[in-house]
Amino acid sequence: MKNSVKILFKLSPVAVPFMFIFMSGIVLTAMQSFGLMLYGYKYEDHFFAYKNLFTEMWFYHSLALTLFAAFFSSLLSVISGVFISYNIWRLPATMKKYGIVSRIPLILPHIGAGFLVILFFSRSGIFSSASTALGLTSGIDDFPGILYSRYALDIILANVYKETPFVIVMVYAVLLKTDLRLIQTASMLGASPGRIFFRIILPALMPIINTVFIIIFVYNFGSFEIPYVLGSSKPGLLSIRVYDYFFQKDLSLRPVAMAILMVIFIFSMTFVYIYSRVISKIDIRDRKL
Amino acid sequence: MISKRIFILFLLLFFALPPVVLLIYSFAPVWNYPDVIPTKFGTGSLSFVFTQRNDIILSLASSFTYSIAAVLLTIVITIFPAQVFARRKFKGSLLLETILLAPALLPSMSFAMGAHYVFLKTGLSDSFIGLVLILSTMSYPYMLRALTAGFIAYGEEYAICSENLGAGFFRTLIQVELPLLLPSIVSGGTIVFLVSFSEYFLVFLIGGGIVPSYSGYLFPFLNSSELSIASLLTLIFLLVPFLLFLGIEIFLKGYYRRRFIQI
Repeated sequence: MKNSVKILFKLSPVAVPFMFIFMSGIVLTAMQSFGLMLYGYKYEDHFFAYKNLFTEMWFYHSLALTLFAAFFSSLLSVISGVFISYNIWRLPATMKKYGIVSRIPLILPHIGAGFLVILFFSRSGIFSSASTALGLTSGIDDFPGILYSRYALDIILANVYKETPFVIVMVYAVLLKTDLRLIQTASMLGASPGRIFFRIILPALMPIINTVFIIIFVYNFGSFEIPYVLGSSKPGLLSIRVYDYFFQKDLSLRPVAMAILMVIFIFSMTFVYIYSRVISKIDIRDRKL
Repeated sequence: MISKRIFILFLLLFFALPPVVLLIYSFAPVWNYPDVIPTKFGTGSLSFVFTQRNDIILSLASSFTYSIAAVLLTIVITIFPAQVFARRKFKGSLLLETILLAPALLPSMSFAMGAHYVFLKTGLSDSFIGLVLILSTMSYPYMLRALTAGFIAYGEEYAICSENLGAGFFRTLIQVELPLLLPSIVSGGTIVFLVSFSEYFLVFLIGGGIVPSYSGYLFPFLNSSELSIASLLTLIFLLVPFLLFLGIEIFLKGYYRRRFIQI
């Protein structure tokens, strides 16, 4: 008995922010989405925000776009991260030091990643100038409209640049524990490079790939900063809609912002559930940061 | 060998080209379409930064201070829970550990906007303390993970040995456990610092423009036509964590050498 009191006491410091800021924040978001606890505003219909939301077409478009952008950002980040870390791992020891450049985007803030996409991919940007110089496009309007595109291409590009290094760090840690002799043996037995990758390396990496994918997917799903810097066209991502309803519109419409947040939260919870299922399969000693 | 060289070239282009372009832009006041290479160079952005140095230094110092405060606070709140998760297995401990990671995993917007109301009612909004609290709430899971891994890595024997030799609880903590945990503190602290230092939205929401921040200072430039100034300011953003981590690296090397620890 005394022991469990001691454990509870030792766990209590982390319970304070978890209960009083995280949980209470979520509870208040939920209550305000039903029009409660809102600076004395009174609502006849407590479901008005949800009814408002679920009858609007923009909401479904925005949800679909958010899922699309989050999915492709995560997929491309994972693919490029696995590709790069595998190739860094195979470099001879003397050349491995170049791998350090892949850390650069880690210290770049999200708003900085958004800014880089503007510099490189806008119609008057660097790639547009380069493609005109190479004769691929004839003028500014000829360059594809990657910024403000309907498919959030600019957001996907910024996310991939920012998140690839995270994938590299996580995947590389697992590669370091993989026995290089497995590959040498397979190679001696005549396996092609492609076969080695898909039959030996990829299966070994699958647990970490699953984990990383779900982490970035959930992050991208609710992220605000990159879409905000890039400035979105309609319908825009859900997080931008939350911002609009929270700051730009009348206070009486704030429950709508909170209702969108609840949708984001419940979607994310579903993914976190999957995440916890995946992580429980990974050996406890492997769970380093 | 050729394919390896091509891969390294790709690596450099993909990761190192953007900061290089930022550097070029900083000194190219008019780099417009369709110039692939800027035609004019100048130091206009430098003189802008120089005239604005008070605002820039103030916002950098403020961002640096609340980020370091968040690192320290996350160490304080997670060190004992991490010890419990690493060494005591009880019913539901894995589930609890997973649930406690939620604030870093779930979109911060979904709890921050509700927490904003709590902060308004308790007078914590628009304050330095409120900002440190919200940043710590969002980022403590990274510290918790790092410290738990650290505690698992070196086991319980050191602490038991120290207690057998007569050291008290706090002496064991400060002289035995903390030095052993140093690598974990650095790796967890690095992430907490980066997350806090580069955060824009929470600083805007909870700091309310009252607490100066470099991300808040930088943001309006990113959307402006002042690409040259925005580039230089973004480079400054990269410089602070870079210098900090370089400093920590040098300090750690010296520290381990003095203590004869091989890593």
